[in-house]
Amino acid sequence: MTAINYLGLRMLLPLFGSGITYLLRDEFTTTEAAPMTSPRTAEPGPGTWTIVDATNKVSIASGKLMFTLANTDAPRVYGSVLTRVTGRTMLWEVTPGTAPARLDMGFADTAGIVPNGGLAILVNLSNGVQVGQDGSVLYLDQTGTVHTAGESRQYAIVIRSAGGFFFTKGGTFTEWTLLFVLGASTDASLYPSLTSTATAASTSTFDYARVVDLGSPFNSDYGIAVVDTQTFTQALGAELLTNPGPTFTFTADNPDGYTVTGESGGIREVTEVASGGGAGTGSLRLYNTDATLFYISQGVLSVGSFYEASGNVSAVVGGSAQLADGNITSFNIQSTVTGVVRGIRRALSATALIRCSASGGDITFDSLSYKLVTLNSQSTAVADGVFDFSFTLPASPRPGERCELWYRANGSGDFWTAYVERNVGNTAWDLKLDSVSSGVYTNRITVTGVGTPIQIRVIASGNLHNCYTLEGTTWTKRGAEVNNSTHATNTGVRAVYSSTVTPSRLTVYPRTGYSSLDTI
Amino acid sequence: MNRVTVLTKWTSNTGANVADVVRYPGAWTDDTGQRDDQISPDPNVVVFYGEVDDVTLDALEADADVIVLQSEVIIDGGA
Repeated sequence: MTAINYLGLRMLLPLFGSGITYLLRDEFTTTEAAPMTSPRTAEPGPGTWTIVDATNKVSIASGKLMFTLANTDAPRVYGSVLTRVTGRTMLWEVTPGTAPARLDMGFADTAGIVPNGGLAILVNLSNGVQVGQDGSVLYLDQTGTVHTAGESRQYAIVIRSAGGFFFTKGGTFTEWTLLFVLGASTDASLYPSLTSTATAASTSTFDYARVVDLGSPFNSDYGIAVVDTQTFTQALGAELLTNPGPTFTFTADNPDGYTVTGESGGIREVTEVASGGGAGTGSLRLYNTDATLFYISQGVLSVGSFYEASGNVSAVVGGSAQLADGNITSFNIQSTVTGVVRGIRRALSATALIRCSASGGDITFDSLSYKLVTLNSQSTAVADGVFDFSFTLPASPRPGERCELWYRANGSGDFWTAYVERNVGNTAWDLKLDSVSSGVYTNRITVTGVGTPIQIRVIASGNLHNCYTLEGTTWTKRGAEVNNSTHATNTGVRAVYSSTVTPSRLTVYPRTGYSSLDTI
Repeated sequence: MNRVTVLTKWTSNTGANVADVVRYPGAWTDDTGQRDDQISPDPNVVVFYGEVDDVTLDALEADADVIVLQSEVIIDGGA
């Protein structure tokens, strides 16, 4: 049975055999003019609502709860307090009017306040759907997430032990679709709430609101995941270089075991120096005053394999230190500062190539290292999903270090990779998204200076790719949406990272396949 | 901050395609949707969308290797 079929079966199970036990159910059946009686007894029930409507703009007509608002109106309709239970789910259907400033709906943490202080979905006509948690909101900024006036959509929030799952159906989402996952909010008290503000005359309507406890797989934090890995086996092999240092050996001022290419006395040279670049022995100085290619190398790599290359740089007079393969393209780990430079890359040639940058590069290495990386095995997930990789970046990061989330992978040469990479000056982490075909990396997103993330998320759906990072409890969208059909049907997923990164969890949630929400 | 759309070149070599413009700080995204197997060295140009600060926008406009096709100020609170 494939993962997808297995998931489809599981998604039909939550309510089978047990019937549906509602904690709150209101179909807004009986017409009632504003001001409505508060508390209101839900129809057909169970449950009651408290209606806060200072300007008498909330009513029921044509089987819908109606917010007929003018500017400054801000009604709040909220249910009785519920305890936090994993799988507890609020569903509702809403049609925004023409000018709600913001519809804010979901589980509030306090009676009578807007729910984004707990867990909420917010509809802003101009900028699209937001998800909210503990007062912090995030524009999803994905194709289809602009909920237009007059369009009916359903939403659902499923409680996790911390945070929740956010679903929608309607508009361009023709089936229940997982919009986002949050994992921080732990409010013990939850108030189902429907609220809105307006900037001008506008009528928004609600067709229904229901709260129910879902069973498996929704009643566990990772129950709907098709991949949930906390065991990682990536490992480094033995040192591959001959004479890697520290204390390089030299013969006739060239390092033993290395092929020297492009050397020209006084213009491009490798020489023996002391650590720090002064007169002495044991360290290796490379300098290049012109644009001619100059390097030292050893033929120790295998094309298609991954390696962690590192070096200890004790002096930078100019330019950058570079640890590369013979192509000096996607495998080219650079640093412009002293200290360790380190990275994990895929070899496109058999040559381990070490150099300084041309036209002014002057670098001293105290040691060098190339080690084979045995990757984590690829897991089979889905093509369309919410792909998460959480990790701890090194406390003392070094240029070139990376932490990669591979998705839509088929082997180690064809995949998409979202990753954070330490920049060459060791001043910041950058976020990048590359598509990779036959080992050739094409950069699709580069965002400089993304803080110190603890999680990378990609939401891939059809040809669309959206990247996010998490730092603390704050999610940030990174770059814009990429629309690209490369590897659109691959289903592999893998975590790849520098040896100084601590991986913690690789999780994939399918984007769709939640038809059981239709039965509630 | 500013939204920009620029015409830039791929710095393509065997093993990697990277848009020249990403050497500038900011948030850059490929705006073409060109599949990996359709990236050609001729024409070797690509459209990238960016979000950059004012200093970077000035630098982009002064860079002969980058053509700024469009720019606009991002209004606070926008998506």
